[in-house]
Amino acid sequence: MHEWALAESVIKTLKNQKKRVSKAEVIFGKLQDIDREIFSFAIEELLKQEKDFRPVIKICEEEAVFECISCGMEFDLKKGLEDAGEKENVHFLPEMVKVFIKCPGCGSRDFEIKKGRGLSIRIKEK
Amino acid sequence: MIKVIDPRPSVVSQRLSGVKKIIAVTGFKGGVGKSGLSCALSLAFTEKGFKTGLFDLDFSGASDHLILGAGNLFPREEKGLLPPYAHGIKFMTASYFSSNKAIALRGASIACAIKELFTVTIWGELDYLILDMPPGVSDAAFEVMNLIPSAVLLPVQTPCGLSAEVLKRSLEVYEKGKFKIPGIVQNMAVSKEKGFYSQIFYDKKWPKAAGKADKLIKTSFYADAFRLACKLDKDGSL
Ligand SMILES: Nc1ncnc2c1ncn2[C@@H]1O[C@H](COP(=O)(O)OP(=O)(O)OP(=O)(O)O)[C@@H](O)[C@H]1O
Ligand SMILES: [Mg+2]
Ligand SMILES: [Zn+2]
Repeated sequence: MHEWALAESVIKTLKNQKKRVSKAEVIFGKLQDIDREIFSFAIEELLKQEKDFRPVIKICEEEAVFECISCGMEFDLKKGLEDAGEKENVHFLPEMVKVFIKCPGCGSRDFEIKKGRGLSIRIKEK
Repeated sequence: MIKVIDPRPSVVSQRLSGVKKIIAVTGFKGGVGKSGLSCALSLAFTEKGFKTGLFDLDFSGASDHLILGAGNLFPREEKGLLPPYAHGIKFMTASYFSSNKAIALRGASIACAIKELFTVTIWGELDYLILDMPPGVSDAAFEVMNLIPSAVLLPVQTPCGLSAEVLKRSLEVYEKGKFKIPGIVQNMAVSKEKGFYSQIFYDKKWPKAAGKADKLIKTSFYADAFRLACKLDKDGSL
């Protein structure tokens, strides 16, 4: 349910743009595993409080991709994070993935989250 | 052109809007007593009847939960994360999320994680929020400076000459950032010295009391920290 706090940041950011936003894409990085239903509900509720601000928000998902800094191997989440507690921890704080999984190539925890970490917004500008 | 935006920083000031004063306990070397002082100040403000929060921002060296003896706590999830109470203090730490494993992260990752927690933590109404900072002027420190320009900086140093020298250089960085710095706190003091905002004396009972809040508040370290809390509270310049 902390999706609410994240949804608030999205609405606030869209409102803060100099040019009025009518359309935006919200990217969910799969690592954070944001609950789409709760998030969308929060967005709806938050927009109800706005007078004439009604942007079309489309949600897209992005797979998580990691790259090992020690050996260069690229890997994903398919193996790892089975434990429900660890999953929840990463849901709240995606960086914690580095505490729970290792590079399948060399065993290092020193890897980069290249894609699919958490929340971001994409807006088309002319 | 497609613009990609990180939405998180937009709500940070809103999350802290109910907080009257934010004090960042810094020190530019490790082991000078930042965490101990952060905990003692939080206990002292609470004892004085203030609504107090404590945020351990030293992710890789998180130790406030150990000093306070605050095991088995976890934030409540509502429209954000509500920090649980430890001895009356609203307490937030990355150690809630690490399942007792070591948090070894690069600076950029720590900065990103700090931003995440400032985005989702609901502090509510507080008189004081104490930030236990990681040592040095690091990525994490820069992140906090960016997110919370209103923080008061409380630097800690020990009588060791090296610590004073490192502190002087680091303070220049912070002063450029226009942070309020009431003065320097000398910790592990062995004799009265002028020129400090406050002195906390060496107390061999302090390390032994770690983990037991009822013992911590009986030490002379705590009594010194309590005096510092009173001085900060009366300081009209902050
Ligand atoms: N005034 C004091 N008298 C006696 N021992 C002290 C005093 N202040 C701190 N210590 C001890 O010194 C050690 C380091 O203190 P503390 O963890 O608070 O420092 P720190 O600056 O937060 O360290 P780090 O940089 O690792 O986060 C602890 O064991 C603590 O109990
Ligand atoms: Mg510390
Ligand atoms: Zn590797």
